[in-house]
Amino acid sequence: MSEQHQAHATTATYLRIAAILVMITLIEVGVFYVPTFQALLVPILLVLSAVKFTLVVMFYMHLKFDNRFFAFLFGGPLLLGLAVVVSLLLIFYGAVRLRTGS
Amino acid sequence: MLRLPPFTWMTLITQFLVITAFPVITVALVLLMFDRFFGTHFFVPQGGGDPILWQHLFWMFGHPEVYILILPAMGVVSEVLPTFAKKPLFGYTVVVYSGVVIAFLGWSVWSHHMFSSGLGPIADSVFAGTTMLIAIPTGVKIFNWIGTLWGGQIRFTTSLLFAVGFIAMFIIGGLSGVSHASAPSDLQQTDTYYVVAHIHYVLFGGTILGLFAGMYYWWPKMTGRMLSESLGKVHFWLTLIGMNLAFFPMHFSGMLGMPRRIYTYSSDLGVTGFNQVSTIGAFLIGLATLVFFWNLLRTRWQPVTAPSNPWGGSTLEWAIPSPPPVYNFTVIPTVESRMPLWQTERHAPMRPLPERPPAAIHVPGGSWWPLITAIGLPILAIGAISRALPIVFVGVAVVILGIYRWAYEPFEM
Amino acid sequence: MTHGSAHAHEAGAGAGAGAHRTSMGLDSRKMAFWAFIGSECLLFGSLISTYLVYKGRSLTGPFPHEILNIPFTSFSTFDLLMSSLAMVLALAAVQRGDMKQGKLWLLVTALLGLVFLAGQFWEFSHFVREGLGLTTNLFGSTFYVLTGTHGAHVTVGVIWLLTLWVQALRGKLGPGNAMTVEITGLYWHFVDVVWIVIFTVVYLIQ
Repeated sequence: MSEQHQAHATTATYLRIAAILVMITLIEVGVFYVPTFQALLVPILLVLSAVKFTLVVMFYMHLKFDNRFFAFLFGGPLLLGLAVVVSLLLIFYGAVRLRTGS
Repeated sequence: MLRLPPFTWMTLITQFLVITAFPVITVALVLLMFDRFFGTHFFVPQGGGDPILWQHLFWMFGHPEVYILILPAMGVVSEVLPTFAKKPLFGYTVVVYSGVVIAFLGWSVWSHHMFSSGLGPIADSVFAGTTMLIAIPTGVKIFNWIGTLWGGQIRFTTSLLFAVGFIAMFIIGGLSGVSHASAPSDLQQTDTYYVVAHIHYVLFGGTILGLFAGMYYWWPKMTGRMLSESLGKVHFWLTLIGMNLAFFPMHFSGMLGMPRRIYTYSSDLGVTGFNQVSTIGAFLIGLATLVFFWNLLRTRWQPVTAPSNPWGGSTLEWAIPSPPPVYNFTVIPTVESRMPLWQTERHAPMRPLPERPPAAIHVPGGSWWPLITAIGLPILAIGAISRALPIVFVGVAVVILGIYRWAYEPFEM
Repeated sequence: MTHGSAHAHEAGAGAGAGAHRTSMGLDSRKMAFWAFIGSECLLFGSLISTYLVYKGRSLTGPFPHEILNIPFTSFSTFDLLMSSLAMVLALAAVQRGDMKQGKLWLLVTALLGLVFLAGQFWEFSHFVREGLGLTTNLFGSTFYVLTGTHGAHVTVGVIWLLTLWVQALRGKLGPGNAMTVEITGLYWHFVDVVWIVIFTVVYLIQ
């Protein structure tokens, strides 16, 4: 059992992931402060945080190596949650655009 | 998985709806509670809030909720019809997939409850479209049930009567539902009794009739006692007549403009006659339900023993005694077909299970701690509602105590 | 699939844990917990939606750019990320039977969680002093409810971790019931992941 775990992810891997997570956070904060990136701030930050999210879920929560059913149990509602956020944003901000247009 | 009984499938699908829809109303209610108790303005325009957000959050729960209400009942019907038609469920795979599609699409239609809230033409059109779309898998199920009955050797037991009643009443409810799907049409119907007619045809005609079908079907299995078929038929006919008397006139009163959520109406509205008919229907339903309760109580006082398989059903529950032993199956059977107890084209009926288990079967012990944990929550809530902080703390303490005792309870009992 | 059945055999080796196997060979507790985490996506999704929908609609100040402290919050984020590392090291230690390390890393995770909570308390009281209360404006309401719910989850997590640590001290934790630690980890990492989203959406995207 422990051999299987070391076969997929070792302590070294976990430490490497932690380092990547810290680096990405630093980049995110950097992007926040550096004016050059302001225009692309939102997409860059969304992508970077999505990467962090994925790394923690896949490696720390072991989803990459586990039975696909767990990914289904999590992924379905996750997509649904994302859809809820996106649809509410579209409804509220789409409407604002339409109303201010008139 | 495609050998699972349809009721099991529908219940499984329903659980996914439950775990995804309830958190949304949890948030909506917490926000509302904060507005009421703590002075926030989530839904208060004077504070910048928007009541429309409440509507969205509520109906994002509210629509999946109605599928939570109907899918298990549809599962019951899919179990009852084959047994009493002595025919397999027509189009099993399609019925299962339709259930999945209904659950999935059920998440895309919520704003059809908000057509009069000023969402705008784009939102209205989108939700009208998705709502019409969801009628398709629903219709598919109905055709499959009719296909199940067609050419079958039908036995008109009470359970079957309720299941067939479900189909007929749900179709009526579905038809008024389709008329709601069109935004312009709904603009006339919304907040009138036409909607009340719709919801009661699908909820009473659907869920409740389905529940009764299930009760008559599985009561012998659960209790080891048969329900009276004659009383059952009285129950059924009184219910069917009562519900139609109660709810059919509401289509008309609704179209005449009788509003919802008002408790008294002027006779000038012209709906008094309809409402009087509804009242008679309501009392008939009450009478019918009393007959049902009498039927239930009678099984205690004048029991008629039920065999393992009183209906000649095809699924696993009929292979074990009524009521089942605590461990259910003496030996876990291997399921080769969807109808293990019937002779089918490819499979002989399952061999009878041994009467006694070959070795002692370990059954997990019961525990009070989950119940105690749960009781902590209403104590907390009552403390919160009556603004008595000490009671809130008592509730929290009960929940925490319950959780710890539950967690530390040894698994083997 | 081998991983799944390997876990199942391992679980079977533990006291009573064999009963947790499902017909798919997956631990039923782990399955239930992932389903729960799925439902939490909807909970936090609704709260985040509320925050986003009301962004920029506060009638009065203070406004986010006036009050949010990015350096401080970056430290909180870093703290929570490190706590996830500690959690994963704790699990690895318990799985290989190294209870000394297991106890250490469980405690470290809990302590890092407490540091995060302390930071939240400080941040909230600072904001209140600066004039941002729960009912001050929509920003206050949505901010405190969202981050407060997250903080409540962290609090539950810290209590859970400390409980596990005490169990370990009493010798009741070991590779046989490592699943308990794994599930604790799932909860803790999820709480971290929600913070990753909140940090981005509330603090960095103003």
